[in-house]
Amino acid sequence: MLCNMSTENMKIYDIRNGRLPEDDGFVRTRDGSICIGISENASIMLNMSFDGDGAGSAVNINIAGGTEVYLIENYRYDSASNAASFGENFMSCAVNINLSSGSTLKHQILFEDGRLAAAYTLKCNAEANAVYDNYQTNIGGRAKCNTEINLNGYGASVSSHLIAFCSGEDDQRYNIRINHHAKGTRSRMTNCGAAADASKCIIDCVGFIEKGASGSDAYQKSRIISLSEKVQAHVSPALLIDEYDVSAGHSGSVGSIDTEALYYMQSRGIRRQEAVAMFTSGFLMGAADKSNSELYEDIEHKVRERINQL
Amino acid sequence: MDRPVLEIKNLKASASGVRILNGIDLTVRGGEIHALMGPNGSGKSTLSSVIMGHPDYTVEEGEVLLNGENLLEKSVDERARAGVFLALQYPVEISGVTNSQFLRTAINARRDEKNPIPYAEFVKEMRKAVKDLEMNENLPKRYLNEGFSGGEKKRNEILQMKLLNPSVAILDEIDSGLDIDAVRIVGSNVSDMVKERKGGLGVIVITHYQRLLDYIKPDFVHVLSKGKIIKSGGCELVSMLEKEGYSWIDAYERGAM
Repeated sequence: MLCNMSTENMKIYDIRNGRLPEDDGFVRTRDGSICIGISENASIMLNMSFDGDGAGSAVNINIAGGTEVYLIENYRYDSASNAASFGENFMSCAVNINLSSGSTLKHQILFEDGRLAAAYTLKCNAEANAVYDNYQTNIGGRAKCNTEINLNGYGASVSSHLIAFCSGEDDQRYNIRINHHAKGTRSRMTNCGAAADASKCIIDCVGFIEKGASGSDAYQKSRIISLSEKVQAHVSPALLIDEYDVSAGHSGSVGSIDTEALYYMQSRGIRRQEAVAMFTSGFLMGAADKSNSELYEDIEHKVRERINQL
Repeated sequence: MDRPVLEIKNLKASASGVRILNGIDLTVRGGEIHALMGPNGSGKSTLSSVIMGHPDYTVEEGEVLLNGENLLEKSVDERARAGVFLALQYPVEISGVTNSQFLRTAINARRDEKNPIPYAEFVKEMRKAVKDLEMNENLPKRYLNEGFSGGEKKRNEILQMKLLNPSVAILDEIDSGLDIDAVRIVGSNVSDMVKERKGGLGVIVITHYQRLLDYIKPDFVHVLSKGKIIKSGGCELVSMLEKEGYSWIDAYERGAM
């Protein structure tokens, strides 16, 4: 059970265009990258703001064995002019995480500002019995996100969740790969997307089980709801399995909102637009972390706001 | 028994080009309970769907008036806000939307935007309804009908009816899948609602069996066949159907022609 879920005791770092204002011994800058070495239980928020124009950052996180960490990365556009258009302000970020044996990381990644066009790369190496819970939420804008999670030690496990909402001319592409390199490793991947107007939402996911990784268990589920006819939505689930003694499954679907569900909500007096918003929000929030109620409500509120703007 | 709440006049409707309702005439007054019975495929559920405005059905002829207003011009949600409630035969599961959120949104859809139902009032009403229907107190936090047993789903329909205060309620086979106790709970709750509303609520109960009607005692019983009401009467008609089934219908219709 992770400690310190609330933001009260959370250490918050404001990082603008990839630059840390000052080292505090816990979070420091080295060779242009932000480095975080964690050897005791901690809650950390990285407030990553960008004023566009190709700004980038690199973050390296090493978590010692047996340590529990709660990490929130919050990405937003921040400029004095505040006149940015949606999805036109480019930023890039590469995050590398090493989870030592027996460590636990709950990791929230929030792209809540549709004005950013984000190129985001995440790589996580999890050693024996490490537990990695990853929640990525993107409620608008352009994004190209590549995630690679390597389960390198016996019993390492990952639970990966994606919430993606696209509207207007947003273009969001997600490549998520989980590699089982050791015996007894476990992965669960849940991806929920909703796309409206003329947006694009593409989710490619791969679960790889290497020869020798017996007893591994891999499951992935990806769904996208199309809210208009002009949407381009694509889900490509894949399992690459080189070992016999494993358990694996995948499912993927793209479809429109269940008309019977809409009818049911309308039959209770709920107006159609509200019903679409409620259904879509409920669908997306199915992939959200419910253990932090403040954050859950904040994300739900933002998701509903974006949907109501349609 | 008051003025008509629901008036159906010569209603003809089809689905996918196939005519299903062939001229239904029915008047329901406030405080009245009408039982609608008939063999499978006779058009009972179609009638309920057409009144509610399900998009799969096309009205070809006829009128449906709710408190004197033309219902057929209204959208599904407008009909619901005007006072129609349909307890579905197969309630839909909606993941990610809690019962509490759903009902609060439905209640507020009927109120002025600037005057939503106060939280405390909603919680109080919800808790009372949960208790009256002998449902689990964690119901409000559960996702709408998800993981519910068949009986729970049907009781949840009645819970919604209690909180939404319709003028006319259509209960489409609300007793199917209910055990003996659940039939009692549902039946007595509906019966109590009719009494408490004192002429403000008319009910159409669609069922095949007498047991529910032991609790929701109908004032009128109608038998539907091939999209038309072919016989109406009182409770004695229910007893006759329990004994004889629907085998008499063909001969009856031949004699009537």
